[in-house]
Amino acid sequence: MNTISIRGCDLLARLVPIAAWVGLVAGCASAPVSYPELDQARAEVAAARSSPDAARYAQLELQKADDLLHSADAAARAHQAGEVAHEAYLASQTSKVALAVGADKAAQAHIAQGDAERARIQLAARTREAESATARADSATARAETAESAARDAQAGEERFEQELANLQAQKSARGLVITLRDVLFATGRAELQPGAELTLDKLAAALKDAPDRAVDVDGFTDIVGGEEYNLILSQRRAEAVRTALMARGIDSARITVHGYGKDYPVATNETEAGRQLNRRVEIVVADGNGAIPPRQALNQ
Amino acid sequence: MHSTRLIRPLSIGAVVGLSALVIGCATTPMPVDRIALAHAEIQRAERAGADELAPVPLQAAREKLAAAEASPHSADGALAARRLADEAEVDARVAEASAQAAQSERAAAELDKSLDALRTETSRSAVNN
Repeated sequence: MNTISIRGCDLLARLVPIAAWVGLVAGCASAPVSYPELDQARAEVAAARSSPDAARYAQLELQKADDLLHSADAAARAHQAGEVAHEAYLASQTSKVALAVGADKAAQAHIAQGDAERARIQLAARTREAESATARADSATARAETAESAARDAQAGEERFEQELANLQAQKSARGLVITLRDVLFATGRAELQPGAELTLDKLAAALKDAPDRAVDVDGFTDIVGGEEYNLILSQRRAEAVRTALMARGIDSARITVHGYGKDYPVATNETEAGRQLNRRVEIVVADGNGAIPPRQALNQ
Repeated sequence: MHSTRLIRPLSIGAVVGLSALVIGCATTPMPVDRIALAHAEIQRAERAGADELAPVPLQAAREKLAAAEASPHSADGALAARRLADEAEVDARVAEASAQAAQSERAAAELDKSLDALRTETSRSAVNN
């Protein structure tokens, strides 16, 4: 009731100048009345409508802006300038609300996606960690298998080694396995190996390669013929000749110790030529285990 | 008796008509409901952080609400007060929605940043593995 009477008053108040103006212009043409606020509101509402986020998330606000625009249009048709400006302002602001609501909801949707993405990345990282742990476990297993097969190889090498030493007629002793090279491998009074020694040394080197951790002691001996000093040096040189031959066949020199004992430690009588021939020899002692070979003196005491 | 019977309805009608005239043109009631709505909306905008994030529309809303409350108690004053209150409400609504959007966009940007960091970190650890 009140509103109607107010609008009536307002209408009357607005109509008087408009009617006068219309009357003035009417003589030439009846131009439609233009309201810049309304044009602007129309443009703003259209812009909000074309925003995908607002269209998706702010339909209610867009509808309200449309309704307000229609009210402004109605007021324009009724030439209620004050009401046109007011309703147009409300429509403009409501279109801004629609845009803001659209942006807000779009950002919230982005956050929801981001949370899901974060969960996905963390899950993937955990999965990858688990997989790499499995891979590490697998490679540990593989290493263990490699070690095992190396151990099997070593075991096989050991068996081959023992067979090869047996072929060389190695004798067990307190210091280890002893292979004796008779003096037929050396010319009388000389320290150079005879060509016939090659085959025996090849077999020995091959056997030592199968047991790479074992120490080797090469000991030279002579008979009692000749001076003591001479025999010591000769036995030493013969032992060294054997070491050199083993090194030439790829045996690490660090494994090999060399001793010249001269006429000491005879294995047979020096009274006969046959006995003296047995005493002129080089003994190659191969350690039983991985330890060092005890020296001869220590054993004799 | 006759005269009094006739006079009473007439005088009642006259009083009603007069008061309608007075209320309609002189003491138009102020739009207290619209003013209350504008107040409530401004408070919502403040709670959304509009003081910091959307100060311009919030300030416009406050000024229009103050103007609505200060409008003269007349027909024109009441009309102006209603429009001012409605505009204050819609301004506050713009402030509220803008502040909320700004907060959400800020949160989304921070999340994107932390996601980038997470991606870099996991891809680096993937390389290390």
